[in-house]
Amino acid sequence: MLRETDVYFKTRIPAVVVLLITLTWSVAAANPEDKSPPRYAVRAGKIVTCAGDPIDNGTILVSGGKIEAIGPRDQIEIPEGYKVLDHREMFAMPGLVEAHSHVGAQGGFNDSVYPTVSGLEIAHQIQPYNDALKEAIQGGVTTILYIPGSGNNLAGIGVVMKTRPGTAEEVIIKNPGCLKIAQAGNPERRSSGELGSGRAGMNWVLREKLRKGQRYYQKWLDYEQGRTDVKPEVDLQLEIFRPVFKGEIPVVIHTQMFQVVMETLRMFHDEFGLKGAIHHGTFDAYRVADEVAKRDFPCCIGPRVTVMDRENGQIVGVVAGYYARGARNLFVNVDATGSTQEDLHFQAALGVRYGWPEEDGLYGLTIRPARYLMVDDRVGSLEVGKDADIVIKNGPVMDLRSAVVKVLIDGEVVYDAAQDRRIY
Amino acid sequence: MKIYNQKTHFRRWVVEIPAVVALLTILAWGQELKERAVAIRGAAIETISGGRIEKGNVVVRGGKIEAVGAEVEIPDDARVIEAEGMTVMPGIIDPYSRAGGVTGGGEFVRVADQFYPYQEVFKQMLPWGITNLSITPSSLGQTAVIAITPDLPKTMVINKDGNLFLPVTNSTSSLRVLRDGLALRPAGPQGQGPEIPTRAGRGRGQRRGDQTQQQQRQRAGQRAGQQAAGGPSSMADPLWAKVVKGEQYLIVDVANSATILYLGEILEKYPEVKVALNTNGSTVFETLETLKKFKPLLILPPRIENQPNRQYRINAARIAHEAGLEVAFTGLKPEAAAAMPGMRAGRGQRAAAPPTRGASEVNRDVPLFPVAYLVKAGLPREIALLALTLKPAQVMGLADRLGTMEPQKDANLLIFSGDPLDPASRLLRVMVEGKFVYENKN
Repeated sequence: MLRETDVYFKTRIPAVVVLLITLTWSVAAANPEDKSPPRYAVRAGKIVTCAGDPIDNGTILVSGGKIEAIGPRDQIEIPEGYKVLDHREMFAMPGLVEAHSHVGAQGGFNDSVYPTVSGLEIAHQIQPYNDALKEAIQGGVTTILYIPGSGNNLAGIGVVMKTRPGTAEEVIIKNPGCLKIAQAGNPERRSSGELGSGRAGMNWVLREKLRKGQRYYQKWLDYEQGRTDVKPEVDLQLEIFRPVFKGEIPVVIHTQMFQVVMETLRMFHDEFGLKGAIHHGTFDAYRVADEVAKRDFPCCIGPRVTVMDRENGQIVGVVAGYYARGARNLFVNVDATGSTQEDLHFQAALGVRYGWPEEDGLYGLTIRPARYLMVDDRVGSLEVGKDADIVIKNGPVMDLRSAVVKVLIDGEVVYDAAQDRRIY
Repeated sequence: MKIYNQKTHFRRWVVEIPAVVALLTILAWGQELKERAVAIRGAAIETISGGRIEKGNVVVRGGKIEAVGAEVEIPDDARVIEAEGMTVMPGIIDPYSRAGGVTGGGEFVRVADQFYPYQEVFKQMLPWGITNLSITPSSLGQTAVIAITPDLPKTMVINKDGNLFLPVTNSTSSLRVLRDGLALRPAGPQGQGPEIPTRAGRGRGQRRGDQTQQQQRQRAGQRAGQQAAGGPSSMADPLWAKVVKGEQYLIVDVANSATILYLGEILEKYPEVKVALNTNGSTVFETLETLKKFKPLLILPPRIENQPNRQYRINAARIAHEAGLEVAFTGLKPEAAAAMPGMRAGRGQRAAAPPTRGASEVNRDVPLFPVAYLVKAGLPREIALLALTLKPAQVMGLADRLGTMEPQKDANLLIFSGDPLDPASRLLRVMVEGKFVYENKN
């Protein structure tokens, strides 16, 4: 630029012209109509990438909502026009991913008149950037799987979304995001005598539904692969089973206590071979974690992250209980229904406290749930090309005391503790 | 026969004397065992009174601390606890507790007459490191101080004659009790003294001229049954005298921010009076300017709270400290009801605590986490530790017995696996009056 300007001067173009050009350029730059996200250079004392080793004294370049470059400070030159967010005393990490949340909208998430409502799409009631999601951001949570509740056996279809401001279309990153199932626990609360209010009934209802769904999927597969010319009729109650049986979306299975977790493994893994995860898996279910480990079935543990072993009065960390028995694909949830979504990092930190390796704790907040939700091409780690969802914390990520001071989602600063809200 | 008898006599004597000597020796030895010292070796020590000792020993004997310091020698008879890498600090003292089945009602509640030691709640407090409580009634009365020794219910109360306690609301009847009390208007034998307010704010007695005769008759009728000559209400009189002289803290539970305004007006006239206010962070935030004037000691829950009607989060302990106010913490252990949904007291009252539905277990294993969070959020560490120990002891008037690691004080102490304010540390043992009453096996 400088050299070009020099050339202009050398060619004696009148100063007025230069002035005009400069003015025009600066007006264009400050044009409020220009909605392209700003470009940032985020500097941090330590960058926990969740994709390989952490980077000490690193820089992340953010442009167009994506991560443009990431690396040690001395290897990354900050180009002109990038605003520097200087957090050299702090920690940067990927935005947290919650694979079990009910706060994509505020209010009801249980439509439990029928035992199964496989056509129900929770995406239709999203309220982007609602108060609970604002709090989620303040806890560093940038992506959630928003799901229906567990009031019935099959409660509908979840959606993967960002917590940032925007329209529903802008914040949704995957829809359908999952199929939501509930075995044991909550569906049992319905009055006795109804189908599906006891465990045997629930399992019967679910098997029936899964078989129906499997037949529907097979019919469409046969048609798509030319084994039959008869185009199947579209059934909106069963459509969801096509991506489910193709393995394009996971099955979220609300399950807990070891007996029920065993039934979950038998039905969803052994019989139907579905992609999914044990959600909750709490109380004493960690005792069958060796069976989970044999199948390498993912577990999304929480919100109860500890349990009292009544035999000896000891506190057991549930995640550590799974880990000790060989289960490895572990991550955590808060199961937020109100203003608790921001506590996600606590769940991992407490897991670590009771014996989950620290690195696992980090992955369990980020890349593992992202992979499980099959959105790891966009979120879950700090890598070039991925969404610029970056969390700045004022202390080590796995220290319970560390707080979030800044959050970027899709390359924009959506939370700054210094400006948006005075803390403490 | 005679010879025989004499012989027997002699034999008996020969047997009895050594037997008695042996018995005495055994008894003396037993006594010696009882009084044997316990020594904690090589620990970091938060003395509270004299800073932190990075590596030192603590010797305990006869329920008291015998010696503390880096150079302290360990007696030969001591049972030694190796504590290298661990941290010792005084037991936590809660200056405002309702444990032990204590309620309010009537004219005057003396907690020492109501206290019920056989309650599971005391055992549950030990994993939080709480060793002493000041038990407060819920209406006008006198607190009692206890040491948490559930196995010794008879001696749990260590001070039966505690502080004067008064709940105050922004109501005429309630504020009059305070005004009359501080003006030392005695409670007459016919119950003409300060009347007992309830939260509802009951009207006050006959001596004032602003009551109708009908009201006076009603009052007199109510009292006739409740109060004999020199009855319970007059029990407050000597306590008010102590309060006015500044010999004892007056413990006040304030209903709201407005109450603090009126309380401030009254108390500004009594600079000698020492007041400890039980309140919360958002109230402190709202009334800080008033509080700065009459400088009460604040009894606060250790948690991050919200500004009133705002989403802004505040560290009230830090704000109070920076405004020159003293702070003591209360309610470290969540009440049973609050433990289930976590440490949250509803929306907007976010506790700095591990979340939710495993909280009762988690909190007990990370007892000082809420305080550690406040420290991380800018409350000076030494102020936080004082607020857990010496400040409550001062409020109770027991600073000579409790609250620091100093010789001659009660041996109430905690052994943490590391820094007490690091959430990765665990509380390993709790000692009350020289005996280990809790051991963490996790």
